[in-house]
Amino acid sequence: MAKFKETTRVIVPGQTYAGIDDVIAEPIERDLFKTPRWWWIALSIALPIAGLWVFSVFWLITHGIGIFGNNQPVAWAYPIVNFVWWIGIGHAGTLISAVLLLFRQQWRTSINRAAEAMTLFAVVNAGLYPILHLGRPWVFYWLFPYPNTQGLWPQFRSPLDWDLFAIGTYASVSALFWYIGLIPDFASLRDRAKGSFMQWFYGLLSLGWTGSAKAWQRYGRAYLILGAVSFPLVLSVHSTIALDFSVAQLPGWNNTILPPYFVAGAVFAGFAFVLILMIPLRKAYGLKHVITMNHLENSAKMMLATGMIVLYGYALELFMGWYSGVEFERYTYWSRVFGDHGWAFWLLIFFNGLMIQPLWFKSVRTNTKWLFFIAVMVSIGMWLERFVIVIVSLTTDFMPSSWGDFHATFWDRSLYFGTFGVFFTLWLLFIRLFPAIASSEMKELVHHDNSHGHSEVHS
Amino acid sequence: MNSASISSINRIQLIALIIGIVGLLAAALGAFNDTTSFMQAYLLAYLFWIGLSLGGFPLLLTQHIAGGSWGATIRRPLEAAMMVLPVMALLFVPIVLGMSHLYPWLSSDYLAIHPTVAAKAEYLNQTWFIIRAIIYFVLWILGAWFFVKTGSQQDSDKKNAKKLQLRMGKSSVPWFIIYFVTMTLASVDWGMSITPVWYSGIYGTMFITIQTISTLSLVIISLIYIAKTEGLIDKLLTTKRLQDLGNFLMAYIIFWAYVNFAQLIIIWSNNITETNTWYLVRFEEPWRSVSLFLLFFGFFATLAILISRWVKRKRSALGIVSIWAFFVQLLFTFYVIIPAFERIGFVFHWLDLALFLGIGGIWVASYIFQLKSRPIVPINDPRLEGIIEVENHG
Amino acid sequence: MSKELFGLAAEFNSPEEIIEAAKKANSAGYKNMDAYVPFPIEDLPNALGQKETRLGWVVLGMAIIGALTGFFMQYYANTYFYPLNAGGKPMNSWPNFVIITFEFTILFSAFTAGLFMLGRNGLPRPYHPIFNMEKAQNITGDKFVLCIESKDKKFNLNKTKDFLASLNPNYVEEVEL
Repeated sequence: MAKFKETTRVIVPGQTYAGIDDVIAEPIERDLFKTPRWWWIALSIALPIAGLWVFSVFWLITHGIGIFGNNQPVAWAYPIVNFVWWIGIGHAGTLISAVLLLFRQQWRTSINRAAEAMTLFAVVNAGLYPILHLGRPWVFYWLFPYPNTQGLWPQFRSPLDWDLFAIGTYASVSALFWYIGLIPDFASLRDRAKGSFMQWFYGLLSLGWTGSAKAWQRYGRAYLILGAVSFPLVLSVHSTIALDFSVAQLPGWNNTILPPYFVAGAVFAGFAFVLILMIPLRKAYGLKHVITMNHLENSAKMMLATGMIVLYGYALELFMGWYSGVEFERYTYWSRVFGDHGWAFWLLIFFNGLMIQPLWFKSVRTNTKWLFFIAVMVSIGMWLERFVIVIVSLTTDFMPSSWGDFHATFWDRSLYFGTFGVFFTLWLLFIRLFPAIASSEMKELVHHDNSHGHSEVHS
Repeated sequence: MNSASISSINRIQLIALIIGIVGLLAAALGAFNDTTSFMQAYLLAYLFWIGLSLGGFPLLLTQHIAGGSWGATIRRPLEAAMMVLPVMALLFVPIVLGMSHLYPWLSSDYLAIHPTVAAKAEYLNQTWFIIRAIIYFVLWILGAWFFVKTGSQQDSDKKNAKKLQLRMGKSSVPWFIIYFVTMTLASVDWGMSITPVWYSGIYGTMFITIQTISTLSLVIISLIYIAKTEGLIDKLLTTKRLQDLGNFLMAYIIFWAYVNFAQLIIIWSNNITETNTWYLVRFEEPWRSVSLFLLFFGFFATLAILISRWVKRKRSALGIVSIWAFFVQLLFTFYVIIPAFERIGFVFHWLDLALFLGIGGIWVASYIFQLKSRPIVPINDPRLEGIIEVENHG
Repeated sequence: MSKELFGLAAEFNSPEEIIEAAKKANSAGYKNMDAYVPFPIEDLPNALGQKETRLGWVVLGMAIIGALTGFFMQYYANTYFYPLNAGGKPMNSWPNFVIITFEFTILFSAFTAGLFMLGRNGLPRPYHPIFNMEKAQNITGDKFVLCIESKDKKFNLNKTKDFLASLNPNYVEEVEL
């Protein structure tokens, strides 16, 4: 494999179609026993953590949700915080695939596949949380509108049911988008396959794709439509989650800015996670000429932009809390900043506000170590944000007699920790079995690059 | 600009100026009769028209940060719209003079029975209202001036065009922040505080959306009109770029609906006495019909038309849709501001029209003045490199 | 021994070449043909004489059906079948029904787009004659194949072969059915 230098262009010039195939398919086509050692090490760390998740779920189902720290008044605690955190991470995947597709941003191409996978795995974790939080998770299907002997219908006025539909739609449409994108690449893997099992496996997944130009035409149109519908979808999902809070009268939750500001926060967290995943991936698989500095820098820029919107949200929340002139609103925001849990707010400002400021400098945006570090900081910060909104607002609501405190338990933490195991196990399987980069789209990009001389570079 | 386009827009400028002066004079007569209605109509017209200048900020900054050649195409009309801001700053004076007719928080009787309003007197008081307005205008005019000055420098200095473009791109980010913060506060000062008890966090975003849509519509209309006589614009306004602009318009209209829905569902579900008044008024006749009209014709119908690629690729069709979107935003501004005054009876006052035309005439005339004063295409914009020459020869 | 023929395939090296070839074949009057390429090429369907797909309209129709289904499901459940006063909200709490209506719209349109595309493309399809090409694997790799099918009215084994050869391909191959 030729050595390529770091570049700020979308792709390194002078690549061939076959070269793209080789670099994308190589890690997948390797013999099982030639899987790189880091992959095994990573899997052997991720699997036990996933096991912890399974065990926590087992404990939860056998003992009930009393094992969590949830109480009155903090009836929504870690499970909801973590749920919002995970679902937020998913948003960058859809944003990269859909919105950047519509805006013809070429830098989406080499990271969209992996980002979509990230979305799916994050949604798996997120989607399970509210179900586990139900008390009787095994009857979660009661949420669905289906004809039943009890003659009951779900309460459609409840945001909790909106969640079900929003997340259900999000998960299934994301999976469809992802799979449709994978079909031509599966076909390519099928055709390259040496062993008959590989041929059968990828042949089955490719659905018999031939690469017919007529098929491509419909495919392109369908893909664009999927992008176009995913754009409002991604806006709606986190807005719906914001509505879980904001349709309530609780001060600290009922702000009308919540929906757009939650969406920005989700994208913010999502891009941070994209960086956390991509920086090691491009290094491990030698993809520096495909996932270039351009992608990392653009992700950093998106992170900075959405981060600033989130800061605007924090400021506006405080301002509107004060401006309302309502005693309860004012007290809630005062205690958010100076109350018993004030530390969480200040840490949040530190992680989400202060730590992203270095991103104004190009030297930071093009330094993978810095980017990785900042992305981790932002992920922590976004967790704290949900902690502040969900838990701190609940501890001090209207009547002092109903105020309370919250303490997380072991199981709160173990379940959350376990979700990382689930996520990374799925992620490792994905990068081993599926093409982590859309090879047909990369070829298209190479074609553009060759015929127009330069791909558009945004600086 | 060539002489044909100059003479064609000169005529519009003259008509606008005449309409503006006549409208203002007529309104001034009305002011003696009914100062309160005059002030209400003035504020409404003012907020809408200044929005057309301020809407230049999000659009100009976005295209500097992320735009391709379409950005260079719409730059000049945006800059011209922003350069009307000094005129609008002068037109703000009547609002300060007549503010006691607009803002109830200036009356101590009102404060006495509204403790939540009295609680925010540190923010809502005459001194700070004026100081803040001065700060907004200074910043906005400074911003407009910076981009226009750098743009003119770029026009005359081809060698440093790239460097200047980079400078504008980099400065766009801080200006975005300044615009967002000032506009949020300005919308609270000028619009939200008409009903001082009421508050909504998304209100500033709503104003920003109105401004963006109306300015974008105006830019599309202007470009399509100028393209008739101006060869360069005609060449730049390809179907692809037209479609890009149409897509932006559609995206912002979707966002506008989103913002409104977010506010509706939260306030409607909360049903708190401080905030639910907004929808209590607007869900009763006569505003109920306006709400429904905005929903079905302002949003759904516009969206249905804009989804079609054919519409977005055809100048006349996109032009008509843009004019429509422009008036929908005008109606929406009316819908946001006027019910807050709790007018009784027929909601539409003749002064509303007179002042809309009066301030609008002045605005349009100044806009055209600015548009004429500089080349209509930023020729040295590096993003047009290769495009103008090729399309000129071809 | 001669098997039935699916068509004649010619392999090219670049998108530009295959567009050129498709245009020539189209103007030579061939109708039943297709190109097999590793990535979407913008002008290729046009060069082959392929019409615009109507997918957009189908999706739009299903989106409207989805919206109506979503809304009236909730309307039926909460106002007619099981009216329950929650929080003093009206039975027909339409603002509260918007989100699920919206999600249904998206769900219907997305799956229509995806499944309709697969259906119209004849997928899933375990077998396709083009796989019989000796170097079929190149199609999804880096080669561009134009195949004129034997069912075309103008198809004549020798003449078509000569015609394809005149387009300057890497080779021309008979593809069995």
